[in-house]
Amino acid sequence: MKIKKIEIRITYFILNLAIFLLNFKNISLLSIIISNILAILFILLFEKTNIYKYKLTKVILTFLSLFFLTYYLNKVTIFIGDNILREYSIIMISLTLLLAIFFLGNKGYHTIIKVILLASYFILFFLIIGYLTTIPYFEFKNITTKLFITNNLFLNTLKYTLLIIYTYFLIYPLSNTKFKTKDLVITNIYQLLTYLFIIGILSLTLTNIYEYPYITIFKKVNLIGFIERIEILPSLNYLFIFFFLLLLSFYQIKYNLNILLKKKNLKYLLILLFILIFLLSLITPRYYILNHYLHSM
Amino acid sequence: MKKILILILLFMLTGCSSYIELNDLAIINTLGLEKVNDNYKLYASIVNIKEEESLEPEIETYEIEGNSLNQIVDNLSLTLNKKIYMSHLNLLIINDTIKTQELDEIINFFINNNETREDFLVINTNNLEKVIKNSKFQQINDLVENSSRETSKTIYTTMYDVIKNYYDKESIYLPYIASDITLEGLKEFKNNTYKEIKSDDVIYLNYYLNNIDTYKYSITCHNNQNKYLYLNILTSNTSNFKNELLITNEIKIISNDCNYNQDEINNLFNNNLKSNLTKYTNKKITIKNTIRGTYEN
Repeated sequence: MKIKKIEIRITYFILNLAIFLLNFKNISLLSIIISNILAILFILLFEKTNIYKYKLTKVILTFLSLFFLTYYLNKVTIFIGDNILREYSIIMISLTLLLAIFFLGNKGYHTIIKVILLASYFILFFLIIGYLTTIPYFEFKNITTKLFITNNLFLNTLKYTLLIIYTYFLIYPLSNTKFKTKDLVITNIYQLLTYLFIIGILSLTLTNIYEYPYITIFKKVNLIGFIERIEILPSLNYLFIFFFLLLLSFYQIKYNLNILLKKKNLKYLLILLFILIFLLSLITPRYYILNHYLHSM
Repeated sequence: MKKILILILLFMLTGCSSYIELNDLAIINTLGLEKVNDNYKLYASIVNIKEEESLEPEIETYEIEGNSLNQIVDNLSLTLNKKIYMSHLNLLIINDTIKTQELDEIINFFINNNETREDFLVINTNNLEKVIKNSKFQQINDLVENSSRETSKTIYTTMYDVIKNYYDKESIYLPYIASDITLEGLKEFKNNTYKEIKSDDVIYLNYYLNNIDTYKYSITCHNNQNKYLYLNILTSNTSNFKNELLITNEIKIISNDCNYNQDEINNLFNNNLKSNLTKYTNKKITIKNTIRGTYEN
């Protein structure tokens, strides 16, 4: 069964959205613009040279995916703990999430793509609902020239460029579909508009203060006097988006290990990997969950 | 193995471990905060859930003191033996004892509390105890909202506005409610001090801040003190440029006993507006009016 181009493009769009939202606090208007231009140039260059066939690329990508899977698993776990399952054990959330990722990741790329395609209807529907409910709170006065003033522009741009390129490589094990510049530009313009949309509702000051500005905007919603407190719906929607980033990061590791080790059965290695990722995700420097957990024992 | 895994996942996802009975929740709808002898004094209006069905829920007010906001909330929870639930908080009342240091603690408390929505009204009063015990949040909310919308003599300040202005180091304007539950203009908080702004002056401040909704304006005729010119300012927009303040008004004449012509109305209205706006800005003021209605009675 051949994977359609549109399915790959939807997956790329979802992965980019996940990267964009998970790094929302560290990006600025300029870094989005510059990073996207640089990433597009790299992708267009890569389409001609095809560095993916080299072993070194696969080794680097495996380690990168392991790092990002661990780092973002931690971030997504905290996101769920803060917005969806409050007062629930962080370790249990992390474990459940990782089990689901390993379970689905072992199914093969056809299943993964079909799940993403099915979920994309849900994601798209709630993204549109999200814009429709929050658009009355958009204020043009929040879009000021301050948006161009940014700290650590070089570092943030570099980091974000690498992440966009990373999402491109996540697609590669699924299909070697060639992207058109048009597809990349549409995804990037969407990010830019979403960034301006959130700033327009919350203002730059509040966006910098809140941990999840893309959820906080929904706390403002009060339509026709009774449509309010709807932030759980976008939270679930974002959870789906983040889940696919984690899932494809895992699939990248599995795919590369399969080729590099030339083994068909990676069962024990995957169990080891599971334990490693789970433990590493608890000690990522940002939250020190394990330290906190051990301290409280 | 897979079935066991699915079963484990199902049990993990369908737990109700954080379920709390409605009777075990202390639903707060109004909070009052003041500083007394280096201690916080908190007044909390809590919905009293009873078995009997009634159209209006009974509200009980509790007073509690403590060193910090978090400590007071914990103490309140212990006193009531209920979980404090602030998702339905609609009103925060403070007085002049709440200065920068206290405001910082209040803001941090709400930002770090994922349960609350910062769209509740914040007001200032001189008699906190009396206002919180003798009024309902809805009454004060309606009073401020209607006054802001119909007369432009106050500003509906939410916690979002307080947080934004606090971090932008700008003045924080709070509706000022007297002990007899009447609106007495605004309190401006700047440089750790409160300054009162009278109702009539708030209109000009609102012009400066581009907050004018609609209001009615009257002038006595120069040839007859018993006759008036009544104007209804339907819409207004203020553009704050670097060296200029450009105001555009859409005005409807309600009654013109003085038989003024368009130029006379324009001059009278503009001169009054300009002279009052000089309190807030040194910029050049340009006013453009569109006047509708009959000029002669």
